[in-house]
Amino acid sequence: MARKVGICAIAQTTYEKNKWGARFQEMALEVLESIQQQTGVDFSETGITMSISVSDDVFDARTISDNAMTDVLGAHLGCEEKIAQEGIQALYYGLAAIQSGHEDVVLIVGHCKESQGKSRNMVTHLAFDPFFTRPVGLDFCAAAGLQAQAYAMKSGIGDEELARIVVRSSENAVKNPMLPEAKKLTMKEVMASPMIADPIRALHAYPVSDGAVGMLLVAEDRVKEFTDTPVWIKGVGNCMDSFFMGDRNLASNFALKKAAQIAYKRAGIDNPGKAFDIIEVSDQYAYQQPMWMEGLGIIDDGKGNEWIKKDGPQKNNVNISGGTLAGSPLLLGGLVRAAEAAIQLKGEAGDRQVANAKTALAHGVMGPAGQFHSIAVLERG
Amino acid sequence: MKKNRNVGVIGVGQSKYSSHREEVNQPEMIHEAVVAALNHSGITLDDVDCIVHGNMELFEMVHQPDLWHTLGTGSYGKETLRVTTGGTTGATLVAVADQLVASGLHDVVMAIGFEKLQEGHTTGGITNMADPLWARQLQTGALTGMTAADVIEEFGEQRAKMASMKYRIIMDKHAMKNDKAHRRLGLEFDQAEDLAKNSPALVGELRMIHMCSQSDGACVMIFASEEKAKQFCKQPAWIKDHVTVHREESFCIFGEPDYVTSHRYAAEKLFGRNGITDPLNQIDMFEMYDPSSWWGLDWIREFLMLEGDSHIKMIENGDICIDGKFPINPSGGVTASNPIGATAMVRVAEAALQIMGDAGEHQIPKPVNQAMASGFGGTMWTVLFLLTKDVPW
Amino acid sequence: MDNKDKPLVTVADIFGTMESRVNPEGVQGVTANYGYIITGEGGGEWTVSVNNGDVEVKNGIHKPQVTTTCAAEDWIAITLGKLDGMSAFTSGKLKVEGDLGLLGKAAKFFHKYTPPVPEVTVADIFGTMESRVNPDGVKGITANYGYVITGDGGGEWTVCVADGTVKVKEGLHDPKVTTTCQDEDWIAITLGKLDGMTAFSSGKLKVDGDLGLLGPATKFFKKYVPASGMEEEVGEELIVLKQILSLPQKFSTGKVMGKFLNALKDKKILANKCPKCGRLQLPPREVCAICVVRADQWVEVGPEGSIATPDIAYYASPDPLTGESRETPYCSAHFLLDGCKDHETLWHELKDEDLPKAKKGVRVRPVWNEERIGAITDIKYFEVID
Repeated sequence: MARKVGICAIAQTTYEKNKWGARFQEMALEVLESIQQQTGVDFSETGITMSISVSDDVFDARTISDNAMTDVLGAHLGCEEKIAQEGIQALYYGLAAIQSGHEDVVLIVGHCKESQGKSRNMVTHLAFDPFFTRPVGLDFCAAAGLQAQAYAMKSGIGDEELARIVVRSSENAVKNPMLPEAKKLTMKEVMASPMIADPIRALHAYPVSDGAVGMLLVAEDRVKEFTDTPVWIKGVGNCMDSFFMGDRNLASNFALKKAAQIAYKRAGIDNPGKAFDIIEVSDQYAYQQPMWMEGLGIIDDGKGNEWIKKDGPQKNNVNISGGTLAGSPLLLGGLVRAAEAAIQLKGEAGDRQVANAKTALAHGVMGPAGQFHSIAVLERG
Repeated sequence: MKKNRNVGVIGVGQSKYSSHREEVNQPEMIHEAVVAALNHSGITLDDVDCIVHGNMELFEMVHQPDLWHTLGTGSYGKETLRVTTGGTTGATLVAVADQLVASGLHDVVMAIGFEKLQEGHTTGGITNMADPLWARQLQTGALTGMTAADVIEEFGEQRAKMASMKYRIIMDKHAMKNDKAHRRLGLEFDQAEDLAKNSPALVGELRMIHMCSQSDGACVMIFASEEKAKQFCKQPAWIKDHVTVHREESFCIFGEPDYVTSHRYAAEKLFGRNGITDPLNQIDMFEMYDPSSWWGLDWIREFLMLEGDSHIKMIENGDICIDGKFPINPSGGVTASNPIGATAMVRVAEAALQIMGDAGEHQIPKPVNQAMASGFGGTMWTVLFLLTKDVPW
Repeated sequence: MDNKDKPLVTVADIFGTMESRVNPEGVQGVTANYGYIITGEGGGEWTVSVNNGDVEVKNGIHKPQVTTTCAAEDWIAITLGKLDGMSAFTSGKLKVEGDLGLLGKAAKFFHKYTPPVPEVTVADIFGTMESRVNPDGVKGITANYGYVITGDGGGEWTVCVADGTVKVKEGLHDPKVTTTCQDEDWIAITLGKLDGMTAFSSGKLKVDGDLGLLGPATKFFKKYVPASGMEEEVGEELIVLKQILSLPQKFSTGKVMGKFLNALKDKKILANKCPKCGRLQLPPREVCAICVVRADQWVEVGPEGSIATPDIAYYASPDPLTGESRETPYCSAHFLLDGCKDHETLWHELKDEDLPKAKKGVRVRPVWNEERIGAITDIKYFEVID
C-alpha cells in the first residue's frame, strides 16, 4: 500500500481582473514565499526536491511557459515539471510522485494572467480543431452556451435560478479576502446583464482573472516536519469525454460521473450525498454549479433546479469561497477550489470558516462543455 | 530511494518521422503510433487505465491539444494527464507514466509525445521561449555556435571539425538502419572534409549538416506494473531510475569560468544512487538527445563524466558505432529525427527497444542489460533515465 | 502526333500491366472470364480470365460471364481514380452485361495502376519557367540566379528576375547566387521527390553567393508539370489549410524588469544583486535562482565592457512578433560589462560593421537610440572601441 500524502501549506495571491503591476514570476514568488514562511521548507536535499508548475503556453504567449518559472520555483539544478492542463491535475500528479516513492516533498505553484492576451475566448478558440469547430466560431464560452441550453431543457432551470446562484456567489465572495474586487450583486443586476451565449448572461460567467496559487505536498512519514494540521489527499479521479460536442449528450455529465466514481472508490466513499462537509466546484458559468452537483452524485440527476430553489448550495456548503464564478483563472479553477477546500479543513478560513469541516470535495473542469473533469477528495488530519 | 513498485515498458510505437505528413491530421498521426504501441505490447485500449499527453502548444497553435487529440489517442472515458517541459517533454512524460504506475494509481499507462512541426514555424516557436521583454529579438531558435567555438578552442580546428563530422556521419549510418528515421542521407566517411567546409553555416561553425531536423511524428510508450508487465510481455524494459535537472531561466553560462552542466550534474546524481562507478562498462548503450553533432560530441563527456579528450577518442575510434564498445544512438538520434514533443521520449523508447531486443535492423549486436537515455530542453535542462533488463527491486 | 504530347497512359498499357499487378488475396477463390469492350480512339477488346488465383489477360472477347463496355477516356479516368466506377455505372458511362455480382469482386483483383514515369528533362524545366511565373512570388525581387546543372542532361542557365518580370537565359550571366546540382537531383527536387533542404544539407546541392536570395526563389514558379500532361498523383481529398493566427498581448514588466528598462531611458544599465551570494543579474530577475531569495540590491554597471561570447548568425529566424526575417549575417553576443564578472553577461547585438572584429575580449560600448522608450532596443547595439 502506498503511503499517504498530506497538504501541509496552501498559499494564494489575490485574484484580480488585471494585475498589471506584476509579471507572472512575481505572482508565483509571492505564493512560494508564503509557503516557506508557513512551513520553513527550503530547497535542500531534505526540502522541496520537485516543483510542479501549472501554466499554459498560449495564455502566457510563451513556448515552454514553465521556463520562466524555474527561478521562482527553486528549480535551478533541481526538478520542475509543468501541468499543462486543469490546475487540479497538479494534485493528482504530486500525489503520484510521492506515492511512487520518487519524491517526499513536492511544491505546486500555478499561475495565469488572463488579462495579458486580448481575449481569453481567443485562447480557448484555439483548443478547437482547425477544420470544423474553429471555422464555426466555437470557444469555451460558446460551447458552454450550448451545454447550458441542454441542461436547461433537462432540469428546467431558468433565468431566475441562475441569477440566484450568481447572487449567492457574490455574497460569499465579499467574505473572501483573496477577492478584493468582489461586490454584492442583486437579482436585478444579474438578470439585466447582457446575454453572451444564450442562456448565459455576462454576470453568469466568471470574471477575467489573474492570480497564482500553490501548495506543499509531503509524504505521510515526513508531514510532521512541516505542519501539525495536514490535509490528506484521500482520493483523486478524472475522466476525458469525446471531443466533438455532437458526439455527446451535453447534459449527461458522462465524464464527471466517471471521474467521481473513480475518486470515490479510491477515497472509500460510498454515499457521496452525505460524505462532504465542504464542496468546491468549478462553476465557470452559473448553470454549472447545479449541473456538476448532479454529475458528482451529490444530488439526484435532473434535480439541480429544485436544489437551487430549496437553498441547496447553502445547506451543502457549496463554494463558500465564492467559487470560480467569483474569480479565479480558468486554468487554475480546480486547484483554487482544492486550495479553498484545504484551507477550510485546516481551519484557516477566517470569516468564511465552516465549523468542524472534516471531509471535502474539490472539482476542476477543462475543455469545451466539460470535456474533462478532475476531482480530489480531501480529509482533515 | 526505493520505488513503491516496479514499472516496466511493455510497448513502443512510433509513427514515421518526416517533414511531409500532409496525408494525416494531428489525431490521425498520433493514432498511427498508438496502434503500433498497442500491437507491440499485445494489449488493447481497454487494458489502458490512463493516457498521458504532451507537446508544445505554440508549435501548432492548438491550446490544450489533448482535447482534440482524444480522437486519435483513445482517451475517451479514461483518466488522463497532460505534462509539458519543452524539449524534455517526451522524457518527462516517461517520468510521469513511471510515477503514475509506481504509485499504485494505475496498472497500465500509455504516454504520448507528439509534434507536427510542419504545421507551424519551429524556429519562431522556439524564439517565443525567450522573455518577450528583452530577449526575443536576439534569440535564433535553438541555434548557437558557442559549443562549436568551445570545442574548436579546446581541441584545435581540424580535430574538432573532423570529430563532429565523424559523429554526424556515424549517426546517419545508424539512421540508415532505422526505417522510422526522418533524414537518411546516405553519408560516407570520405565526405567529412567536404561537408565540414561546404555545408551552409547557420551560426558560427554550426552548419546545416550538424543540426537536427524538424520532423512531424508521434511516439507512444506503454508502461505496466510488475505484475501486469510480466503477464503481457516476455522481456519488459524496467525503469530503474530517472533524474530531472533544470538550469535557471537566463542561461548564465557565457564567459568564464567553466560551469557544471545539467548533464554532468544529473549523471552524477543518477550514478551515485544506482551504484554506477564505471559507466562505460556498467552501461551497455546510450540514447542521447543530441540536437546537433557539436552538442552530441561535447555531451558524451558530460553524461559519462569523462575528462580530457576521451570523448573525442571514442568518436575517432568508432566506439560509439552500433557495433562499437559503447554504442550511442543506434536509432540515428535527434539529428536524424526531431518531432520535438516526442523526441525525448523516442530516446527512452529506443533504449527500451534495445533492452527488449526489439530494435530490428538497428539492434545492437552485444547484449544490453543496462541502458541510459537522455532528454534535453529549456535553458539546458536534462532528464536522464536508467533502464534495466532485470527487475530492479 | 509529337512524341512529347503523346499520352503516357493508354488502355493497352492498363491491360498490359494487369498480370504484373495481380493481388493474390483478391483473386483467390474466383473463377470467371471478364470481358471488356473499350470504345473510341485507343480502345480495343480484352478478356481477363481468372482461374482460382491465376490471371491471364487476352486480346479479344472469350466466353465472358460478364462484359463491361466503356469509352477509352472514361476507362483511363476510372483506373486512375479520377472517375468513380460506381458513378460511371450510374450515369451510364459504363455498361455491364452478364453476371453483375462478379464485378464487385473485380475491384480487388489488381494493385493500383501507376502510370509510366514521363521523361522529364532539365531543359524542359528551365524552358517552361517563364510560363510558370507566380507574379506574387517575384514581386519586389531583382536578382540573377545562376544554375549549373551537371551530368549528361545538364547545362547552365540564368534566371533573371527584375521586379516582377522573369527571363530565363542559357549560360551564366552575373548571377548573385549560383546553385550547382546533378541533373537527376535537380529533376527530383523539381518533382518534389527530393527535399531541397535535405539535398542542401547533404551536399547534393551546393550554393555560392547570397544564400538569403534562395528563400524567396521557392515561390517564383508554379508547380512544374511534366510535358506529358500527367500530373504527379496526389490524393484529391488532401487539403492543407493555411492560416496565420495571432493573439495580441500586453506584457507587464513588474517592478524589477521595470526598473531596469526605465533606467535605459537615462542611458544607465542596472543589474540587481543577490544579497546572499552577491551575484549580479543582467537583466535583473525577481530572485537569484541559485539562492532562491529576492535579489533586492541594485548596481549600475558598464556601460562599456568586452565580448565574452560572440555568436555569428548566418540564418535568421523570423521575428515571432512581426514575421519578418532579419538580414544576415549578424552577431548576437554576450557582453561582460565593467563591474561584472564570471557569467554576469548581458546578451545583445554587435554592430554589423564590427562583425570581422567579433572576438572574445574585444572592448565594446553601447550605442544608444536617440529616442528611448524603456525597451531593451534603447541600446541599438554595442560597437567595438578602436
